[in-house]
Amino acid sequence: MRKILNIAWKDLISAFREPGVVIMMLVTPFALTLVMGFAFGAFGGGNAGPAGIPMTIVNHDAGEFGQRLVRMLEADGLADLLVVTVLSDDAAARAAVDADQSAAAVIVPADFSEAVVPAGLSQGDTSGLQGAQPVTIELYANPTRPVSAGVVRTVAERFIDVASAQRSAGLVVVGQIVGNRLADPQAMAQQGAAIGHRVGDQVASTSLVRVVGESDAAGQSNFDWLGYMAPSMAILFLMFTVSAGGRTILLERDLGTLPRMLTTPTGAAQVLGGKVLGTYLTGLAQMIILFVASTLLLGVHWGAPAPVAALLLSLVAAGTGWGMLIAAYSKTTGQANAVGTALSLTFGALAGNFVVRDLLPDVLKKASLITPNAWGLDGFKALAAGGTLADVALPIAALWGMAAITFALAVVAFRRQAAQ
Amino acid sequence: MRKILAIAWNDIVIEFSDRATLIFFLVLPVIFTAVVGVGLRSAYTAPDPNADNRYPVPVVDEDRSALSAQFVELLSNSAVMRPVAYEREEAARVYEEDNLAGLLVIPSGFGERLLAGEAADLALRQPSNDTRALAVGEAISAAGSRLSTAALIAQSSVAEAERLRPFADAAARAAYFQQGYQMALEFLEQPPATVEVTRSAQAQVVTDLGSSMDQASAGQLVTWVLITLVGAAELFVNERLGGTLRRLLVTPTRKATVLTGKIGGRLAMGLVQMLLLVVIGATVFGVNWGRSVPALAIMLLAFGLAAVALGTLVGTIAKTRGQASGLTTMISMVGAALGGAWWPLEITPPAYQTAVKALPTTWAMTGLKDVIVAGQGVSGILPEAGILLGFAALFLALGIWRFRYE
Repeated sequence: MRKILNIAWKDLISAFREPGVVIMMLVTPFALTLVMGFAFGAFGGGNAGPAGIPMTIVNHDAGEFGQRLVRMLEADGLADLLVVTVLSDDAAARAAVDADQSAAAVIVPADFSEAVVPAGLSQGDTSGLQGAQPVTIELYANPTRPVSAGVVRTVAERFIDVASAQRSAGLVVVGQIVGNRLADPQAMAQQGAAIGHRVGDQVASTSLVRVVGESDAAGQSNFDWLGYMAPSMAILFLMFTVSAGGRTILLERDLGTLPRMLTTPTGAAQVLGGKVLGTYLTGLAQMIILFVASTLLLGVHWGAPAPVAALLLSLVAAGTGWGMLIAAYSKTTGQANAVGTALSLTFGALAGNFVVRDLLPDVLKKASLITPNAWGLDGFKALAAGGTLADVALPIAALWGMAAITFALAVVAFRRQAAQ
Repeated sequence: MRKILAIAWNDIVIEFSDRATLIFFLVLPVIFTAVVGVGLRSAYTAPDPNADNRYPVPVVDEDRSALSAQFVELLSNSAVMRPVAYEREEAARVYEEDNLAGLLVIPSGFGERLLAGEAADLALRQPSNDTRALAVGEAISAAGSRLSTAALIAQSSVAEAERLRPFADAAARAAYFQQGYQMALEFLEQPPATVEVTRSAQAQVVTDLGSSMDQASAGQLVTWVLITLVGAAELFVNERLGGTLRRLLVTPTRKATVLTGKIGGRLAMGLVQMLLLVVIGATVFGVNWGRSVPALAIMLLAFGLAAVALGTLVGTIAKTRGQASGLTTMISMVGAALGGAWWPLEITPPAYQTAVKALPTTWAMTGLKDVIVAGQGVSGILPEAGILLGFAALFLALGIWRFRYE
């Protein structure tokens, strides 16, 4: 046992002494997590999503609603989201979009206010509404900023909804009073606009229908990018580490250190056991360092320590199994290197290390269950959401099962090689 | 010139003599383009009108009122989610087993409360830390908002009427509310204006939200070609440690010839890889690479030059093969991610967008999107191409200055 531990300890120390390996094991996953944290606003208390979207507006409407739309866009409440430039010329607004200085240009037609409140409506004449077609507010979108243009569109449509609510409020209140002969039509008609404004403002600021989070999502309605990406990147680069660990067996054989070791009173099983344990400890150390660093420096919440530890131990075991399997069935270190890297990246792509796992189609989600990455991601997601050991029992069992199968297959191949 | 070509060709032959090179050169980029493209689809592409690819959400209607039915009807018009009716126990089972984006319960008394002008709650259960949750939550809120607006208008109408003349009894009051509520719903169905999206005539846009494959193809091209070209660092370190550079110099070959041949060979590999990925993107994934072949070619060449120059510089920094390999992977992946190859830069904070302008990958992605999505020609991408060439000159100058043959 001491010999196994000596070999394992030597491999562990060697791995952490090589700057290139440290870059791959620790610096790159941490840097990628950091980048994703910055990219998705995880460090400013903000949420993922666009901010400071440059947009232009050209208002041809001299009436009330065109002016109100401009004021709403320029209001303090939207100052973080939109940076608004008011122009008077359609061509200039479009040119700003074409030059990528603006995500979208909103062009308000001259008859917008007239469409909301047709002439005569405030005097009770509703004939202007009969068969009236809605006017068109043009949104000239920047094709290279589809998300930002979509946000501007949503804001403009929300304004139309409020205007529509105000108009509807005036029409309903006045219509019902007049229809039920509660007051003089002429007198009521003149109050329609005032009622519309008052009720419309109330409608815009109140909602009678409340959506109440029942359980899982309570207090966690926004996607936590750091909470997802920190384990995700750690798992991805764990796979590089364990495949490199398996490769060291072939390297020792090629360099002649393995035959030399076998001339000492050390059995082949002890050498192999030491190499496997060395790979396992290196992977475990990598995961622990990334776990501690992301928790302390980035404030990532991985979950309760005990189940996180249990999941880490299982994940590294399954990863090490795959690393040994690759080494066992590779003829050269070059082959093991190529297959190991390719498999690590493919596993990462299939399981959702690069794209959020929820977004992948079901067929990929199911296919990726042959990878430690998928079980690890599912397990860490459950733990970050407050899960307990019982919640990750299935991922842990699957990972140990995977470790047993891959180790067994690797041992068969190693034995065959030894017999030759 | 012949020597330069011979050195370049020799490097390419050596590189491809290892069959594993093809995996990184072509196989993995294609796999990643497919997976990332599919993964980004829900964030980018409008739902296919021929297929219902909205998120299914079990809905338990315990109210069974006209209003709750109206609410489910509004939900069924959502572009994001598809309500599916279930009983409570069955809904919970389906939600958990199929890992769905939400479970909505319309509690008993929902309609009654709304008709009384009182706040009515909907119970929404959603998975935590799930990207689908926000979109589904917003779709439910939007449908609820329509009912809420109508109810508030009817409530205000009752109040206005009551000021003029009190209602005879509760039934008359309720009837008045119901009448106002229906009128409001009808008026709200006829908005005074609509928003129409237009774009430049050059734009190459398939849907309102663009194409996920456009983002994925351009992004994966930048990532994987960067790995190939920054991989020049490993080539130089290998040659330096193996002593082959030194041996080449004892032949009647100038240093500049050796260096040009080495860089040229690697650049040629990158250009061929780009060409293959463009062709596969167009034929397999249906990516529209823009209207101007010259503009695309200029962008790819400028990016290739900047990336191979960066590889040359990294090759002078790395001391061992392990360092060169680690730095290549880190610089390629982090650089590509930062520059917008993995996700669109427009969804990042403004300060982030400003900071990453210091990276060549940002300009490569901006230029490629100008060609692919905005449909711009040569004049439109000259600024980005110019900046990339500036990066190439800077990296190359630094690389040559630091370059050691042994």
